Amino acid sequence: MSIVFDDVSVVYPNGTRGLDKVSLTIAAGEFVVVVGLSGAGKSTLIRTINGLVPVTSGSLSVGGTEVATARGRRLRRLRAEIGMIFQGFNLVSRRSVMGNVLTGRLHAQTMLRSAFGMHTKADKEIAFEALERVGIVEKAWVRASQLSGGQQQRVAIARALAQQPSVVLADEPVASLDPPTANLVMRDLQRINRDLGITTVVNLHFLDLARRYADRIIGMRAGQVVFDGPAADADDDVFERIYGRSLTAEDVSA
Amino acid sequence: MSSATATTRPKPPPKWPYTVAGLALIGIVLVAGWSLDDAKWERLPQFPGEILQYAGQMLDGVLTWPGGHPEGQSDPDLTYGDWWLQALKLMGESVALAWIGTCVGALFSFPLAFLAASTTAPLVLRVPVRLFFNAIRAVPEILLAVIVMLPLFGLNPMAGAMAIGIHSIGSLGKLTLENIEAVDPRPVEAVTAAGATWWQRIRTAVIPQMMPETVAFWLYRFEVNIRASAILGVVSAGGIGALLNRVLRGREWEWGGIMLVVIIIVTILVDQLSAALRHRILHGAEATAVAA
Amino acid sequence: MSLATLERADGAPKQVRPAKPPPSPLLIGGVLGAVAATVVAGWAIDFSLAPVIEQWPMLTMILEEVVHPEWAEITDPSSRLWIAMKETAAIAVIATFVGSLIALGVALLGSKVSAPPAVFRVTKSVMSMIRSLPDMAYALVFVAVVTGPLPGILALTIFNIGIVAKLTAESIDAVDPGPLEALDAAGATRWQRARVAIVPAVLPNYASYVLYVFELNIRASVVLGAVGAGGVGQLIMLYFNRADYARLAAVVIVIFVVVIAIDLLSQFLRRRLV
Ligand SMILES: Nc1ncnc2c1ncn2[C@@H]1O[C@H](COP(=O)(O)OP(=O)(O)O)[C@@H](O)[C@H]1O
Ligand SMILES: [Mg+2]
Repeated sequence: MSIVFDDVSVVYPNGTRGLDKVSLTIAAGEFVVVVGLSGAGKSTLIRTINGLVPVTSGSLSVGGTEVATARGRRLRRLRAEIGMIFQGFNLVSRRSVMGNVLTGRLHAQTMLRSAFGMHTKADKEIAFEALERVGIVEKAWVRASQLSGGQQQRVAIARALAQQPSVVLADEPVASLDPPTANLVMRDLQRINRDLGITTVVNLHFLDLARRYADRIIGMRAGQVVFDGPAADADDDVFERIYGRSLTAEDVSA
Repeated sequence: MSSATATTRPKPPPKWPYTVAGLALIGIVLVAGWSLDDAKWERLPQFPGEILQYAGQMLDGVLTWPGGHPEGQSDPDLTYGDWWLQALKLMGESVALAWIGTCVGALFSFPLAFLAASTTAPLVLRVPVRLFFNAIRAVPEILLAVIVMLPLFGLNPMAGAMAIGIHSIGSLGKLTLENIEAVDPRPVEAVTAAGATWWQRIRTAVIPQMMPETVAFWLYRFEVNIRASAILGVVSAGGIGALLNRVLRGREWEWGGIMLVVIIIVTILVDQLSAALRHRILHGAEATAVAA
Repeated sequence: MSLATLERADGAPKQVRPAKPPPSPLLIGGVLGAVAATVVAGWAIDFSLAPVIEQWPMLTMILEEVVHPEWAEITDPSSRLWIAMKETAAIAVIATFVGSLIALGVALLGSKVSAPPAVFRVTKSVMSMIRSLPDMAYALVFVAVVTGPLPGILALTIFNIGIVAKLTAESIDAVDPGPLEALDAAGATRWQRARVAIVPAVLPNYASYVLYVFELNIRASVVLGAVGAGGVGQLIMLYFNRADYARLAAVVIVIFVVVIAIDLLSQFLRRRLV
């Protein structure tokens, strides 16, 4: 599924401008990393794609469906197509890993089954396969709260995969992880993008991880896109444009 | 130790606001005391002595061999043991009606709370449901019993159970909605992002987060309701209260002592059990695996 | 969990899928226990909703009277109702004040932070015994000495000591041990520790508990009168025995307004405290 931003602005109720006239096209199957300082509008960009943040003006379509006007059932259908991964994993910590991954199948649940919270065999099979893909199937019946951060993020990835999505959005998925684990999770995302052809948009705080994994980098600052190009082009000049200062040793150590 | 320095020492903050507030408080209490013209304050010194004397007689009753026959009763076969059994049976009824009342409260307050929480319901629903909770809480159980439940159910424990149940909807509803609002919003958002409906969101992300605290509140409310059931006895809406009222007013101290001891023991036992369960629900289960 | 398992080429050994564990026996036991308790309790009180249908006409008759309350009782400030209400308020104020004051001292004796082990253990068990009796039971014993507001005040005072002392002692247990250690190191006495480090630290919590029991006391003093301990309860029993539902309705309205007003006031104050 492709994602097309056309002159999209987002103004929050308190008047903050989250996005400022953003126009972008992300092709189906691309692996895009969005970088920028904290407050640059990365989360806002990603959250408009699945309608968690409403668009104020402009038009945004995902796979041909207009997001801004989608409501109710149509919005849920769209969201079902888009898996999301969060910085804080956002698992229901008191439920089992399996219970969490199965929430990725909610969109496929019939009314009657949803009333009693029952899942079909087929759904459970999909959930198991998703867990196998991130290599954590042996923890299927463990409480989510008992896993390490890296394990929890993999469960979250499995939850997104269980949706069988066409798009995966990841909002700073490695910001709460130590560097080795962060690289493992990034590699998982990259591999899923390559194996399954899922369009992937990842927010990252730091440029060097972006350079390592992205096909394409989008740099943001104050709600605007200030760089858009292949990872190889993101040199020190670009860094200064995005972060407003030059590169220091600290920035590349991770 | 020099007398004058360049930097002035700051003065301590004034104390008079506290003094004024304290005096005002004492003033209010004195006015309240003054206004009670038929409070027989002069009888206050007699209380310790008289209460001790009654307590002594109660203790006599409690410590007498249960096979013995109390004096001055119309039935010569009556034993202290009969009093113990009767008190136990009535206290059992109190506990039972408190339990049913708590069940009724839990059953109705649980779904309603989702219509009253800011995270799960729109304002148009929230306002009336919250008003309903507050209104119910403001009417004491005894009035509910007298006006609605006794006419419906007669002088039966059912009346007490329903009065307690309806009253509990208010306080349980309020606590439950607070639990719902305290839920971590991030998992809920994740489920929303996966395309979940309102009900799916609640079932998969909200309820698992707030259920343990809510069940713990139900148990706590059960403890409160056992105490509340005593008052309902006075209007004969079931439980040990009616007889306790009659016996203590008849100054049957030995008999009353036995009843009070039964109340204390049963209440403490139920409290301990309930506290252990609550602790287990809130903390103990953390380490065990759960089913999806 | 290594990345090797991620490449799931066909024929490669699959990770075993663990079987779903059975629900914990404690959960099953808890649910079964609750169901059994409900069945037994329902049987013990002859649970039946049939009277709701049978007696409905009776209730509507009463409610008809209730919706026409005796307004004169409410509008006339010198009515019996208002006199009783003032008495109820005075009982609540005095009982809250005296009970809370004593409770602060008892709380210091009831926490392991501020009292020696033997003292706090004894205090704790005495407190839990006091709390196990409903306020009603105290009132019933005290009205044997004298009727009127005095037994109501005493019953509620004891009730308040029980609650405020327990909650405050729990707050004292949770006091930051840092400053206490500093005081101990400086050679402070028990009393100095309490005055300098403990009481100031728990004061906001304590004040909030006091407001909480004041709310409870307003409700409770309404009820205590039913056994002759002064206040509105006495009126409730009088009108109930006369089946004067129009006047009972007036009582409901006044209690309703007063309780909600006091709730709002105390909520406002508590929000400012914490
Ligand atoms: N819910 C919100 N309400 C108001 N302002 C917001 C909200 N979310 C984000 N913002 C503001 O929008 C701007 C962009 O934020 P965000 O998209 O979260 O940036 P990033 O993810 O790059 O750190 C910031 O100035 C932020 O304060
Ligand atoms: Mg962000």
